[in-house]
Amino acid sequence: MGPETSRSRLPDQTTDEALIERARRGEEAAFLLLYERYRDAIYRFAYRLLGSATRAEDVTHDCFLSLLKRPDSFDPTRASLRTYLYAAARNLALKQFRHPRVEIALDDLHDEPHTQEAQQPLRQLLAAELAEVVQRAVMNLSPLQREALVLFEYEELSLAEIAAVVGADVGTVKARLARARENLRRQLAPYLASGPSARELKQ
Amino acid sequence: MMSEEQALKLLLLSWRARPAPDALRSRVLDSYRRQVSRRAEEEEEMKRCPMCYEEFAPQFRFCPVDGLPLVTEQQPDMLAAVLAEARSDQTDGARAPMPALNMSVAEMIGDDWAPVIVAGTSARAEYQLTLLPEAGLLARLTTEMSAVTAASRLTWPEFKRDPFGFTQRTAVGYSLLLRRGLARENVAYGLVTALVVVLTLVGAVVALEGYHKAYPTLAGNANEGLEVTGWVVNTIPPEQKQEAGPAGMASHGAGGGSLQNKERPGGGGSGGRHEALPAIQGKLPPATWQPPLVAPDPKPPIILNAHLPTPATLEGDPVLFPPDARALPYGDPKSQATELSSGSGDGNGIGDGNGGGVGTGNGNGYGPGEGGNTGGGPKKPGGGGPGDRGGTIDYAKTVFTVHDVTRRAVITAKPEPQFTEEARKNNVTGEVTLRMVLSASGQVLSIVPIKRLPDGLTEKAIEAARKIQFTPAEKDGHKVSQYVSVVYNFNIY
Repeated sequence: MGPETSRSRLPDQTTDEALIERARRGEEAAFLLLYERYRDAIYRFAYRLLGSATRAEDVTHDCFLSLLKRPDSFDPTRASLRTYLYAAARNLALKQFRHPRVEIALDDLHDEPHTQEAQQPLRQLLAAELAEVVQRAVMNLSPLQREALVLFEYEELSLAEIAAVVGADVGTVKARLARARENLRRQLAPYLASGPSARELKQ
Repeated sequence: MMSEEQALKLLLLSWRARPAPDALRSRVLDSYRRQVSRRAEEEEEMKRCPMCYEEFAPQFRFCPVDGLPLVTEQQPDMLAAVLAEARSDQTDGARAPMPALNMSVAEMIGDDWAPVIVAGTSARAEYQLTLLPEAGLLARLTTEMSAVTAASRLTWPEFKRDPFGFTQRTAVGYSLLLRRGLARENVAYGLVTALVVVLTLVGAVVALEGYHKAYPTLAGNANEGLEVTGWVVNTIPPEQKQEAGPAGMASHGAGGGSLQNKERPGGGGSGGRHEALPAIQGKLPPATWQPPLVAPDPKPPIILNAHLPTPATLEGDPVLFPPDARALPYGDPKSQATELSSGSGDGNGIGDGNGGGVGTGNGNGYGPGEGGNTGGGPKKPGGGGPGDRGGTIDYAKTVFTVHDVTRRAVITAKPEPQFTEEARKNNVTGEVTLRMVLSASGQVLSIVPIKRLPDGLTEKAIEAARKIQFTPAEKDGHKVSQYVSVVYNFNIY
C-alpha cells in the first residue's frame, strides 16, 4: 500500500495487527492510533503497580516502544495486543521492583487526580485521605498479589486474561486474588466497618 | 445491605488514577520517530560476518572474531557461499547445510562451544556420546586448517593496514565470545569446580612434599625399610673341606677300611706288561678280598670268543676301592702319563713292580706296599668305618653346612645395613645375599656376596653382616664353624 493513504485519517476499525504492521513500517499515524487506544489502560495499570506517576510514564513509554524494538515479541496468534501490552507493562514494572532505584515512596500522592465530585475542600480532603489509605494498602501487597488485584478490580480483566498476562494458570491467579483481598480486608478493616457510603451519609 | 465484597470494591475504587498525561504522548511519539529513523539507517547499512553471522555497525569492515570482511545484507553473499561450499566438500557432506542467516553467534555458542562444530551437530538430533563430531580428527583438522588459511588470507590486508587496531578488535571479539561462553548456565560453576579440584590435588602434593622435608627422619630412616625375609640354607653348595683321604690314597690318612675300629690299612701292589712307557694315569678297578681273576689293563679287553667278560679286580678292602664310574681306562691314579701303557713292571698289572695290582709296590693291591690291599707296607686290612675314612675331623678348622651340625648357629643380634645416598637417589631396591662363616670362636668370617646390588649397598650389607652376633653351632659336643647365607632386603617405603 502506498504511503499517501497512511497520511490520511485512518478508520478506527483497523485491527491492531494491521496497525502494528504499518507502525513498524514507519507510519506515525498508525502508531499514534495504537497509542491512543491503549495508553490510559497501560498507564493506570503501571501507576497502580508502581505507585509513582513518573515511573508509570516510563513504563508506558517503554511498553509502546517495545512494539518496535522487539517486533518478534508480539505474536498475534497467541494473545491480543491488549494482553500483550499489559504483560509487557507488568514485566517492565517487575524489572523496576527487582532493581529499585528509589524506594517505593508515595511522594506522588500530591499528584492525586482531582475528581469532579471533590469540589468542596473538606470532601476533597477526605477523599484524598481515603485514596491515600487505599493506595498504601494496595502498595503493601506483594507484587504478584498486587498485579492480580489491579488487573481484576481496576482493569476488569477476566481471570483467563489475567492468567495470560502474568503467565500463570487460572487457579494460581484466583489464589493470589483471594490472598490479596484477604490482605486488604485486614488492612482496611476500620474503613470497611463504617464503609465509605456510611461516611458520606454522615457528611 | 452491602456485602463485604462490594464494600471492598467500592473502597478500592476511591483510589483513582488519572489518565496518561499529554506530555507522555509527545515523548512516546519522539521516541517512535527516532526509533523509526534509526532502524531505517540500520537496515540500510547493517553488516554481517559471513562466517559467524554476527551483525556489526556499518563503520566496521572486518569481523573481529573471524577476521572476515563484513558484507551488507543486500550484497550477494558470495563469500559465505564459497565458504559453505568449501566446508561441505571437505567433510563429504557429513556436515549439515550452513545455519540460517539470522542465527547469531550467541545462539551458536549457546548450542555448543565451537561454531564450526555446531553447524554439524545441531542440525542432527541423533544422540551423540561426546561433544566431538563423528568426522575423523584428520578430516576435521584439515577443514579447520583450510578455514584458517582462507580467513588469514582475507584478513591479511586488514592487518597490514592497521595492525594495532586489528589486534585490538580481535581481542575484543574473542573476549566477547569468552564472556558469552562463560555466561552459559553452569559453565562458570563447572570451571570453578574443576579448578578447585586441581588446585586441591596440587596443594596436597606440595604439602606432602613439605611435610617430608620438615621431617626428614621419616624418609631418612632407611633401616625401617629393611627386613630379613629368611635364611637361605638349601642353596649353599657344600664346601666342606676335603678330608684327608684314605690311607694309601693320600698317604696321610690315619684310618680307612671296613674294620670296626680305626686302623691304618696296609699293603700295595703293582704289575706291568713290560712296556717301555710308564703306566698311564687312570682309575682303579674295584677290589675284593679274593685274588683277582683278571688283572687290570689300560687297553680294552680283546674278546676273542664271545663269553661273559670277567671284570678286572684288585685284591683288597672293597671299602677302600669304591666303584669309579669315570670314563677312564684302568691305570695308576697318581701317574702323569697319558699314553695307553701298563708300565714296565711284571705280572700283567699296571705299574713298575710285580703282580696283578696297580702302583709302585708288589702284589695285587694298589700303592707302594706289598701283597694286596692299599696303604703301604705289608698287606693289612684297615678299619674305622666309611664316614671316618682317611682321618679324624678337625672340629676347630672345619666349616660345616647347616645339615652337618647337630645344633645350628643361632643369631642373637642382627644390625640392619644403612641405605646409601646414591642408592636412594637412584631408587635402588632389591636384596643382597651374603654367604659367611659363623666361626666357632664367635666371629663372622669369609663374607662372600652371592647376590649384589649397586651403589654401595653390597658393601653396606657386608658392613652390617660383620656385626652379627650369634651363638656358634655345635657338632658332637664341639663348637664348630658353620656356613650361613643371609639375605638383606633393601626396600624404600
